[in-house]
Amino acid sequence: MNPSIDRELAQLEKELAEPLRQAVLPPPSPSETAALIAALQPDFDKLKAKAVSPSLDFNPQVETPSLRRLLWSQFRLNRKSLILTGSAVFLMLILLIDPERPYRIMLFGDTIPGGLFPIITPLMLLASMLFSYRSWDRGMRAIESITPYPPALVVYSRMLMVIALMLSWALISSVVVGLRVSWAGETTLPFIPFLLEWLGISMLTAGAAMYVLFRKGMSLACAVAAAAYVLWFVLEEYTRTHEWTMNANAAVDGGMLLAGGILLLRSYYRSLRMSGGPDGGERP
Amino acid sequence: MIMLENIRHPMGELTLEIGKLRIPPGLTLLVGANGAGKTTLLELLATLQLPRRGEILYRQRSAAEDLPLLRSQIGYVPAEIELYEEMKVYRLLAYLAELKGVYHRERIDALLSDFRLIPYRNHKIKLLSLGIRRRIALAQALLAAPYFLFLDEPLNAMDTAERKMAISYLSRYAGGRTVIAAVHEMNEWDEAADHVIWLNRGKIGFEGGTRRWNDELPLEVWEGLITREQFENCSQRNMIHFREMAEGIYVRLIGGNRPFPGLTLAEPTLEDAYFVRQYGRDSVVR
Repeated sequence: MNPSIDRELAQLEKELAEPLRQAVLPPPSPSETAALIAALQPDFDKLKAKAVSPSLDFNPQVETPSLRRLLWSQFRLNRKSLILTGSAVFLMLILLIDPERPYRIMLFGDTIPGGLFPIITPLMLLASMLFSYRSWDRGMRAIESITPYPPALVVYSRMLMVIALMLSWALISSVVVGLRVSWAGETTLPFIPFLLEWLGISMLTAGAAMYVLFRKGMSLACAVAAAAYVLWFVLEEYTRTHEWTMNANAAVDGGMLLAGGILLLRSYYRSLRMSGGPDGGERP
Repeated sequence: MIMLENIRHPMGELTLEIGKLRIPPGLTLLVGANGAGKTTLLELLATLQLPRRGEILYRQRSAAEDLPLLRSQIGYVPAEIELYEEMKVYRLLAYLAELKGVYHRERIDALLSDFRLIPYRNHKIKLLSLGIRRRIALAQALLAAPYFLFLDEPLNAMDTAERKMAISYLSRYAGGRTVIAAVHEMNEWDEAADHVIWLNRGKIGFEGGTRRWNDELPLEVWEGLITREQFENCSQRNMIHFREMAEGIYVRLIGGNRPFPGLTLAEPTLEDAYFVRQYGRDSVVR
């Protein structure tokens, strides 16, 4: 090789030695290495544990959850108390309505046939929801929440079962009232508007309560349901003073029924997505 | 294996703080004074609460990501529970089985048999003794044959025979699974327990095997007969227990050297080791 090139290379190396030394980071000290290892240790442990223990699988003893099964088990849990109280209240309602003068027991004059139904049914529904929404005992709540179901779905099924039971009672009672009025022969009961009247407000209050329950908890759910109930009274007064036709009233009631149904459906999807129970009662 | 990392969770005036804890399969006793954090730790493990900080991994699964899966593998018995009193035993277990997604009636029958509950199968809960109710509470936790079993004072209200039966069952059940029981009386678990976790004011005071729990004690356990005068001079802090007898007072106490001539060295029990750790020691003779 040419000696001048060698010299130039040697000179270049000499000139670059210092800047290169500054540019290259010094090797880590033993204490820095130790600190790095200590910082990484938790991750090493996790890797080690992963290698040692196989991952946990879904319990093979447990079957896929379904809302139908949940509803059935919740029904069997609460059936006695709900059937007894429901039957007592609705029997009272039937007896309170005079079949010869079904329009006389009205809160707002005689526009509401069998007017006690839309007043009592939502109240009964809310009371039943409050009573059965969760177990009173902390220990039972704890063991009931350790299930493979989304915890909120368990509460949803319980509430839905209560709503279905109460509405069934009201429906049976309505049929009985209708038959009694018909047998009395003094007047006729417009059955569909009558049904829609109590069903609309009942579903709306229940739907509103459920919708809020899975977002803001039971206290606010009751408050919102009560507000919907009071607003319904105002609306009834308005339609009465403005002499709305029965068809117009039925349309409004149908709208409330539909709105209640949609709110219930949205609550169902919400309960499936929630990782915790409503009201912050059971976590996570 | 359950791994707890950097757990911090408030519990009244204290905070549960666990830097790193590994709970291996087997039967683990969770001990500590009242308010030490045993129930809080069990509730965290049972996914009833999420830790304010830190992470719990159950064989690589976390509650945040795999809650339904984890809960399918968890059984829990709270310290206090009022089972639905109006329900009959079988009906209650069937209801709880359905909630857990277990629809095999044979499993309920097997547990009724294992916990000697068959005679009470059609009895209402309210008519049963507290010990039997506790057996039902234990049985419900086992309905899904879970991999993890968390028990808060599981033997409460049980009589001697019931306790023996329950311990024997849990000991067998813990083979290949993880069972953690918060207990106050340790000696009866002596043969069954594999590990001990001692919680002291929200922090881990000890974790390890039962042998190490006893072996690591700096003191020895002594027992024998002493005079009343010796007894009066003896520090009560070191006294594990004593019994008045006609010839004197029979004592079991802890101490470095032979505190009194009449005493002989005794094999330390789990309870002795707890006593030393929890309450410390004093000079034996005042």
